[in-house]
Amino acid sequence: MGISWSFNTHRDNDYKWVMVIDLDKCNGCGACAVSCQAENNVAVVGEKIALQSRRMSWLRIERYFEGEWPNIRTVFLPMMCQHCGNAPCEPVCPVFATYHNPEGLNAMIYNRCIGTRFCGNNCPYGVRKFNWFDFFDEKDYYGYIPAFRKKDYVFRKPLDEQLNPDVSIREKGIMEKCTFCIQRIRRGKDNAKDEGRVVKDGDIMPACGQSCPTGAITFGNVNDPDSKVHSLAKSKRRHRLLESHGLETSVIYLKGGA
Amino acid sequence: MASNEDVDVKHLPNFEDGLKRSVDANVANGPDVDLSISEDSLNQQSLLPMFLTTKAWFIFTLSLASIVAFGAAAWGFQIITGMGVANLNHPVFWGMYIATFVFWVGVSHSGTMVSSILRLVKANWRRPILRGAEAMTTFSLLVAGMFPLIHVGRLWRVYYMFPLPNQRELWPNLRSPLAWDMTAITVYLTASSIFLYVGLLPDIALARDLCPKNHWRKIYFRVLALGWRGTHRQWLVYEKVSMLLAVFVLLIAPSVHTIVSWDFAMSITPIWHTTIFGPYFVVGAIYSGVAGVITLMILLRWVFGLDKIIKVVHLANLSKMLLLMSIIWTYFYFTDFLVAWYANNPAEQAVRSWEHHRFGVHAWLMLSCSVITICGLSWNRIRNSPVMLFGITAWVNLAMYIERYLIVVPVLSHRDNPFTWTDYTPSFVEISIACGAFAYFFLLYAVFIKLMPIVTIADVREGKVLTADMAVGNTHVRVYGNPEAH
Amino acid sequence: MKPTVLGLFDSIEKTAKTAGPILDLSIEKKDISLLTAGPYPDGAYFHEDFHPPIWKVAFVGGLLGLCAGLFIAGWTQWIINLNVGGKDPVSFPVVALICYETTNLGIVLGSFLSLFWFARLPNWTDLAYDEEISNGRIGVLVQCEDSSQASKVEDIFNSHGAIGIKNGRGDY
Repeated sequence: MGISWSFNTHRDNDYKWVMVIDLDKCNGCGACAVSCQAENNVAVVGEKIALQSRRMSWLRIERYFEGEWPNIRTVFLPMMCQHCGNAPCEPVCPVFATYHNPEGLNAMIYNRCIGTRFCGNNCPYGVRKFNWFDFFDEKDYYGYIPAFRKKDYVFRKPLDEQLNPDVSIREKGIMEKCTFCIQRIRRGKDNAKDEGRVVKDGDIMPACGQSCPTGAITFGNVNDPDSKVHSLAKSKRRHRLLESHGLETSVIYLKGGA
Repeated sequence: MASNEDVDVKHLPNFEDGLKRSVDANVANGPDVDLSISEDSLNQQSLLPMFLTTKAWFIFTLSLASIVAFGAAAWGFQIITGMGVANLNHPVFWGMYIATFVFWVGVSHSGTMVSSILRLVKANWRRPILRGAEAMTTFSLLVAGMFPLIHVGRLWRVYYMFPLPNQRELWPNLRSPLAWDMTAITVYLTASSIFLYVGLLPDIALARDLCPKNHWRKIYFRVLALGWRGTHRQWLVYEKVSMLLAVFVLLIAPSVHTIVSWDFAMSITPIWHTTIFGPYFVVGAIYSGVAGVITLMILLRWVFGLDKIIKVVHLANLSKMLLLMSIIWTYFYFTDFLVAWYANNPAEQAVRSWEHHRFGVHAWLMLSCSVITICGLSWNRIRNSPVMLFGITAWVNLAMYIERYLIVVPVLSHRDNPFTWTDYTPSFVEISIACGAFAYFFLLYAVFIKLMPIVTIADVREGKVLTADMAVGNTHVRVYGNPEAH
Repeated sequence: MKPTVLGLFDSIEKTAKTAGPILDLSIEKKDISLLTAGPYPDGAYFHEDFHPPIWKVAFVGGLLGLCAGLFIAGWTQWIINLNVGGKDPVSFPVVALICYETTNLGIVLGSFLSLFWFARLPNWTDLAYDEEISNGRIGVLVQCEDSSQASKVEDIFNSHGAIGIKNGRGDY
């Protein structure tokens, strides 16, 4: 691969998807989080449920402060599923609802999930989101119980027209998380196949990267030596989150320049 | 030979007398086997809890049933509405349900284990308490087994966890500790039910014989007794099989709670990821289980008047066992905290300090319980006082519940990523279901007492045969026969 | 239909004295049963020539359990393999763990079945029995060749202080 870090795929494959996020470019605008929400039919849960720490957002901007008061500097950290090579969430699922796909993605099979939430417990990043209610079902079973009287988070008609047809909506009781916009990866690969070639660098871009105004997010195939992520992954500014766990994540953060 | 009519009249235990009798303090505090008790009286007193149904029992059972019904309704509400009715959140994915699950699996540990250990070491005082302990195991496992079902998000898909052959080659992931858990609990529930039933078999036959003619219990006793007659050859088979079962149940039991502990220890979560959890959980389970056995035995004495069968000496012997377990348990607390403190891992320290601030009262209640148990049970007077023992054992189980809660909750709410730190308090639905499960256990036990003999009568009878008072000069010493001595 | 005699006694000492005379009638040990409500040590009446191979049944049960464990946890892991968390294709600790549980389960089920088999249960027919046995009485059940032998057995019981005698036919 030409880079010293390993990405555990355990298979010889043309593709190994990696995202590089340049924290020095990130200004915390949150466009990535919004576009992720729109692209992936992520439920908008409303104020009340959000305050219960049940936000469904697959991508969030974490805000940290560096330095001692008053000389502090705010830094932002876009956090989504890190697609670990040695993903701790995978072996603990009793039904294989989450597994490692040949392209190194940490895949989530919604239909198979029974909601033991063990994967969420074993994720050190806290990026797995659980469907506490039926966020897409308009039916209000328990209207007479005040706490559940109004499902203000449901996409009521005709708002449901804005849902992305490429992405399924999720039932209550199952886990979900960032997929690296797997529907876009599939489309990119399909198009490349139609044209009889392999995927080129820049063919595929997840929604977050597409909407990032500063271009902090780069996505690509690290197995392709000419790709942008391949050269960025060799950067001296690179680091991975919670590296001590040895999870071989597929998201690489760049920080420390400028 | 007595005619059938005579037998009926004679066999009907005189319940009113049984209820009104004043327990002779000397008998209740006397030696483990009462040699003077007549065969009829032994049968009558042992079967008394089954046949004597008071108004208080009905009130007790109906109130338990209504709590269970409320818990079941809460569960139904949760299934229809979604897991959100529990106060779980990101990232506290496990909460009161799992803590309650671990608690009940823990309680289940001692019944069968105590019973099989005492059988294997041939402790003579074991005899009257075996059934109560074994039933406790089976019922607490039934309660515990419900909690994974309550906990999962999609109950209607829970069969995905079972290894059901299908043409799509969908199979459970046996690497998951939850799959081990399911295997272990299924095995343990099967084994302990078999153990309970094998122990029951001669007593069911006895109850079948003593049941008055045309009594409704006679029907199922007749079926379940399988035509047991107590021939010598049957007894020989029975003794060998019970010994074999005792050995292998004893092999299964520690593995079950070790596997439950691996639900936590196999994860990479700080505090949970520790090698001590296996033995730590097993010891904690036996500790809370022995306390549970003592509590139930005291309740049986109080509610069903088994003072002449289950005596103070049995409670005192059990509480010696509890004392031993509490010493070992305190040592585990010490090791667990000391190692975490010495390592000074920032992620673990964050959890510990959160635990201290948020659950300080709980933690001190839990830790002081150990001290009180060790100090209290060292006193002979307290070991011999059912009231004091009831208080101590109830507190032990409360402390153990808190302990399980503190294992599950604080860790998840303050783990690796500080941005996700949050808090968790059980919701009304969760508390209702946990209370419903608590009531469900006692309901099962109360109904069981009405349907099956709660005293191991055959074993008590064997004890009477094999025990004698030997004169030594001007005094007597008790000697216990060992059938295998010759 | 051979005649059976059931003698009831109120103490094991009185019962034990009948063992010699009855065996002297050249009745085989397998035709004599001691009926009690609790386990008495072997030899309380006479030493039985009865060695049920319970451990063999338990062993077979254990082997079947082990095979089931190897199949469920081992073979299926091998043939239906999914990569989870970069682990090896087959996890041997898991196989060992599941096999431990299933082997124990097999042994427990095997012992349970052997109880049924060797104790000749279940049998809901009306066998020679008396409910007084559950009240602590001790019964001696003898299956005799003919009625003359049966009357000899009755005499032995009566002379040793039996509190009741029950005659029957066939079902032993």
